[in-house]
Amino acid sequence: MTPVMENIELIPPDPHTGLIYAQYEVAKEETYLDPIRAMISKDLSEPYSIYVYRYFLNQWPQLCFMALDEKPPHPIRAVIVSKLEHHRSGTYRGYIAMLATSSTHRRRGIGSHLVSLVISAMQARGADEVVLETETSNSASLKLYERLGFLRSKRLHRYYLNGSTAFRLLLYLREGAGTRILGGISLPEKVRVEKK
Amino acid sequence: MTDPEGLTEETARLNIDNDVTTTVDAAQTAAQQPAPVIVGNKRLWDITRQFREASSSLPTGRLIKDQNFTLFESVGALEIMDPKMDSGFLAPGETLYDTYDVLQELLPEEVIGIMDQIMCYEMAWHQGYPLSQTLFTSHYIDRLLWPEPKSLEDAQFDRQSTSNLAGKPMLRILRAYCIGLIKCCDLVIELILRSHYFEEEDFSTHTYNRDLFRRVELDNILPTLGEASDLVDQLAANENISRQQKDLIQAISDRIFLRRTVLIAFDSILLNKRKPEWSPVSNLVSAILDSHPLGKPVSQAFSQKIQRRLTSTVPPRPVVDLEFDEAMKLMKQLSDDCTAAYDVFQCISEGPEPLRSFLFAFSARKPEPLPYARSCVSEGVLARVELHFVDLFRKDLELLVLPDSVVLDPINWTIEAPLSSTPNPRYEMAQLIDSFTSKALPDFGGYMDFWRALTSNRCRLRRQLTHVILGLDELQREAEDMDSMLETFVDDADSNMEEPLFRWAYHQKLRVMQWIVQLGFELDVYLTDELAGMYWVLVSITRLRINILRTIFSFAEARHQIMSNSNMDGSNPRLKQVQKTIDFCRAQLALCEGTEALAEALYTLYTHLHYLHLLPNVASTEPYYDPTLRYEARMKPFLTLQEGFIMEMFGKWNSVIQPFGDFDRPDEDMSAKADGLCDIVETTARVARTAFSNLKGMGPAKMGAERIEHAWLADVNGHLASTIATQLSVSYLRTAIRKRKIRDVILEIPEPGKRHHGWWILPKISIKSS
Repeated sequence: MTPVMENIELIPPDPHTGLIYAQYEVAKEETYLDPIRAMISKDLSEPYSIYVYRYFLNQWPQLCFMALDEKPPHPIRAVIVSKLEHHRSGTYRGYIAMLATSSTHRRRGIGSHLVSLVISAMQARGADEVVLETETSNSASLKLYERLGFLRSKRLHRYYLNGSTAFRLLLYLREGAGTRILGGISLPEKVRVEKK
Repeated sequence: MTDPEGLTEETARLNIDNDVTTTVDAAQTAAQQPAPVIVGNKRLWDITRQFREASSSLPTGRLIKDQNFTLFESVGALEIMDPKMDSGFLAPGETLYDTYDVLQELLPEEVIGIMDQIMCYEMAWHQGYPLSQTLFTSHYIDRLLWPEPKSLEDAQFDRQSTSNLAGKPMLRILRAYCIGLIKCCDLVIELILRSHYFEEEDFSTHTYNRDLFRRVELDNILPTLGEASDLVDQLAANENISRQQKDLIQAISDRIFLRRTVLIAFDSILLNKRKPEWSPVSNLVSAILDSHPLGKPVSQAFSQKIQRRLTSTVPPRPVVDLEFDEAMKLMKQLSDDCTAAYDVFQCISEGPEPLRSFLFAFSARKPEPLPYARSCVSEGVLARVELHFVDLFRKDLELLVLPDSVVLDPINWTIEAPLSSTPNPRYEMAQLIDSFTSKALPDFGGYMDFWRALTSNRCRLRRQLTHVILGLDELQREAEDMDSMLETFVDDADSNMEEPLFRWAYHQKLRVMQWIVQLGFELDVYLTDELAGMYWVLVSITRLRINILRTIFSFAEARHQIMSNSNMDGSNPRLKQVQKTIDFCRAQLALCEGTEALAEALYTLYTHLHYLHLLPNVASTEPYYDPTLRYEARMKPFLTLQEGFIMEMFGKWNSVIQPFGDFDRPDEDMSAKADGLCDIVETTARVARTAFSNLKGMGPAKMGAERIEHAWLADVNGHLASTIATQLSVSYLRTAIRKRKIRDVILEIPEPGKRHHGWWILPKISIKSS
């Protein structure tokens, strides 16, 4: 079975990886949900309930991508799960919730490619920014995102249940995101200069 | 909704497969139903058929999502029959609870083993993990606390048997120890709840409906521990026991004594601000570490399954295991930090600068103080009435901009509102300062928030300061109008500085901005390719601060001169006040000038390293890399401030971070520039070194840092060492350039914790030996 890939422009990163990329589809939950869960929960100390997966996958299937082996039955090798919503700060904010690559397929740029696909999809939908959190000790993940242009915007003390600290990573996609709350950038009326 | 029949709830009963019954609120569906079944005060409708019909029309995978079902709820949701989520799920042959005989008398070595395990869980809890995953896994603690005991006597391992611990001295000792421990937890929670903290992030105060002897006074707990000590003494008095047995008894005695010491210390900070006595802890910790191998672990005395009774909605989570050595290290740290924390009570009465120095130094302690110790500090700062902040705020104004000024003369506040239409200047001044104070104090991000921020964890501190600058920016706007009003009431213009309130707010804002940037370095928030730019920002902020400080300094010096000429001697309190401002400005100027110069050195050095391609410029070739957007993202906390240079840099950021054009295709011959750039680094690092040396020579008093002299000295030495390391790095770089050995340069960027000072990230340069 070859997954349907309409409406998505796919750029195969490297023909040698032997992977095809596909957008998630709610109708194929029976095929994909379990392998996606298995892949993601492998790295988690405490599991997410199925409602967490469905929360993202059913509301934003167009922002979830899978890297599948090109050989049938196309097992999943990597997956990215995200959402896009209006944030209380006033921005239209993309959020990458989960990214996982099977241990046999790491260090091949698959994760980066998935993130790029998601950013493009978010950008096409008018996102102002993309954010995510990652453990401060996860250097592979930090490197991946920082290479794509993400900045560390905050350090979050004991962010995870297991007590580890996180960095919030941030990528602006549109000008004015930093001051959206005020309705765009406005120069101050008067710039004060200290009298000499 | 209440109806005439007194039925308070309307529910529909859903009957699935005749044996599982779920009750759902379905009043609307129920309305179509013929006759409800009445059970107690509930009316029930069977909607099984409708539910089946409705659900059969849905294809698999079609999700019906309630609008109110949020991500938060989905994360909290449980999946039945998943062993990791379903708290009632049992593997074949598994029991719901572990059985453990709490009345089985223990060996002394077992009591030691259990006490030491409890200590591990206690310290894990202090780190921020919940009681359910730590102390509440103990069968003994569980039995003492549930069902809720009506009195201390009621708190028994087994309430059924009456004289259950007779003839079981080890269990009696353990019970006393556990009771002492539980009261410790209670006192810790009480203090933390009063402080500025974030649940789960800093600490977990959840007690799962267990009362931790909140109403039992310490005076009632201590005798229980005393009885345990007596029992131990009796055992030790037996002449027939072996050397080995004596050691075991001593080990138990030490543990009881530690519990008693910690308990009294936790209690005393809550009562009358009595100084907690932590000094015995250090020796006890080493003795306990030594005797730890004597203990025998009793793993069955703890069970993860107790969590099932604590909460029904959260699946059992993994028990937190902390090594005993680590736990004792934390206990020692707690005692050191709490001892240091107590100084806050003195600092607050000494004025804003001593308090600021103290809080900053305390929050910078490494390892970072535990939440309880931070709460002790918080208790000193925040548990005070607002009046103290008013006082603190006036002292803050006095020190920087209004030394010996008529504006802050206490007499002004004693003058009543004039009855005639002619204003009384003194009365008006007091009104104005009050109005300014009320604007500065309570607002979100205001002066009180600033002090609150200084008691939070280091990561929060940086983020909370970004709120504080917004408040200060607003205050700065207000200050301009107030200054012009103030001017009309002050007739003796020479003795008062121009625009004092504006200057105070602006200086405070710049100071906080400077800290935000510096904490960014410390917390590793900036990427390597941002360092040059962020040091440039630091230069810009400190330069503005230096301008204000110099203006204030000149004013205060001139004022001092006039006062001295009018035969005031040095001991005159008015003169002393002005002198204090001079001293403070002088020390701050040295610190700022050193900071400005070293930041400039590093800006130049990092920029140079980029042109030499010695630094990774990780993202510059990526499609999503955009310098302007990056600048906007990085400057977000500052974007809405009325701060010229931040806005001016929009679109010009590239000229700051790439002053000679693209790193790969510079506009100028970079090899011709190399020596000149090294010269700049060397010169500015030397300027910084001189400034920091001057500061060191002045000593801590001028900055109000006498109480934290060691920390202050370590801080200044860290700055100094950073200037020296910068000079060293640039000399290696110059050598490499001259010998054309750039390819052999090894460059390291030290991680946090491996730096001379957290705020200075220095490239370490060496040359590969060929």
